[in-house]
Amino acid sequence: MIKNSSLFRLALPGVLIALGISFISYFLSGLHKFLDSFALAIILGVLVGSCFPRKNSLWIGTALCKDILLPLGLLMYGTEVNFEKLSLCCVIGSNILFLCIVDVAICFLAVYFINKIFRINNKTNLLTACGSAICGIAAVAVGSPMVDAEEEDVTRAVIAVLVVGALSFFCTTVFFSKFFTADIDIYGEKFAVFCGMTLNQEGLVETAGKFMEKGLDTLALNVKHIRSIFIVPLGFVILLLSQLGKKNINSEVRLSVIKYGFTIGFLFFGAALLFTFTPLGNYSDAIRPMYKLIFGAALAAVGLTCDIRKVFKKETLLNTLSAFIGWAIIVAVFIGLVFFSPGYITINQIF
Amino acid sequence: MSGKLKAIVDVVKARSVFKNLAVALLSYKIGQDVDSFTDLTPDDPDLEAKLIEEAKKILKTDTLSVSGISQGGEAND
Repeated sequence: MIKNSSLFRLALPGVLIALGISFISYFLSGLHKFLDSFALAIILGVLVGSCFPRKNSLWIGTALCKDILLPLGLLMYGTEVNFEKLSLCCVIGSNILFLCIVDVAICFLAVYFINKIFRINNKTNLLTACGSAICGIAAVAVGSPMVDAEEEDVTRAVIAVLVVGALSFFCTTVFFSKFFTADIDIYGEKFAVFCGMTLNQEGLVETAGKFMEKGLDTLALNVKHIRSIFIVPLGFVILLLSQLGKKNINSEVRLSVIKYGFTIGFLFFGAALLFTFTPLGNYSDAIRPMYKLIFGAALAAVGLTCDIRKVFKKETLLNTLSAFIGWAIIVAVFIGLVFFSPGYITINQIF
Repeated sequence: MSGKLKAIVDVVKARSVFKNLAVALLSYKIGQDVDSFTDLTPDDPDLEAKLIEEAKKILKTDTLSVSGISQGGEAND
């Protein structure tokens, strides 16, 4: 067995590279809201990892990041899920919670079943469906240990979420902003709800806020925050779905995957409860940069060990297409509601 | 025949708290990325024996039962 000192020496290069990438990603994400630090971390990780001819120099350090920094990052990410945001439903409008549930369920099921038709790998499918329905890259990162995802599954899901995020942002700001503000919704409230409901990344919602009337960007972000809370139940759903249909699997291996997934899930759920209902919540803002760096390092480690040859395949393209169709379906549902039941989406108060 | 190498790696993952680290150490000891083994990876008796030996050290156990493989790395069936 390797001694602790040797293990430290072997792990150091991988850990330092992952932390370095995370730091650079965090710095770059500060330049514009459109840039997501988690997305940058995994992309830079894949790029740096592809430049190393012998990846075994990184095996131990990156493994350590995935085993320790990912659960730690998840625990800290729980600070972002504030259950008190659910009370915003009473302020915004009682229908918002129902709309969020419908939105998340339709998007998740649409992507999941389209990917089934395309015969996409189950883990990639679940991560993409989860990321599309909830909050993009962060949801993919939270879901990855729950489904015991491979590095390539995470990278494929991240690519799908990023491409669809950019396309949906373009469509939303170029076409739909005019559609909502000019023809249907003169106050722009429904457009704000639309952005909060359909854009997958918080940064995209914030950037779309520039296309709204003053004060409505907060409404859009609050809708997005309510939607993000569903990461907790959906995490357990994808954990169970990941185990369905697996026949040729050792029962010991299956049990360990389920146990690990539930541990991670409850760790995340517990942290969210703790930071919502105890005074620890006062430290959320102080913890945010730390969890971004820690979680970023874990994602950089995933990128560093990703085999790029397995990612650039037809499967990645089809997976991205299904995520886009999922987005188009929820857009159609939302527009249908605005057209056929204009009074359904009512906003009580503008922030 | 194929899949025995992956079965050994799966057992190591299942029995480790830090499964990525355990697999990384196994890869380091063996000198190849054992996480890339799939059900289609052809069986290799020499590598199986070596894997089992290193897996025992990593898991700190004297015995390692993997379905279809005996202690020495040979197939049970």
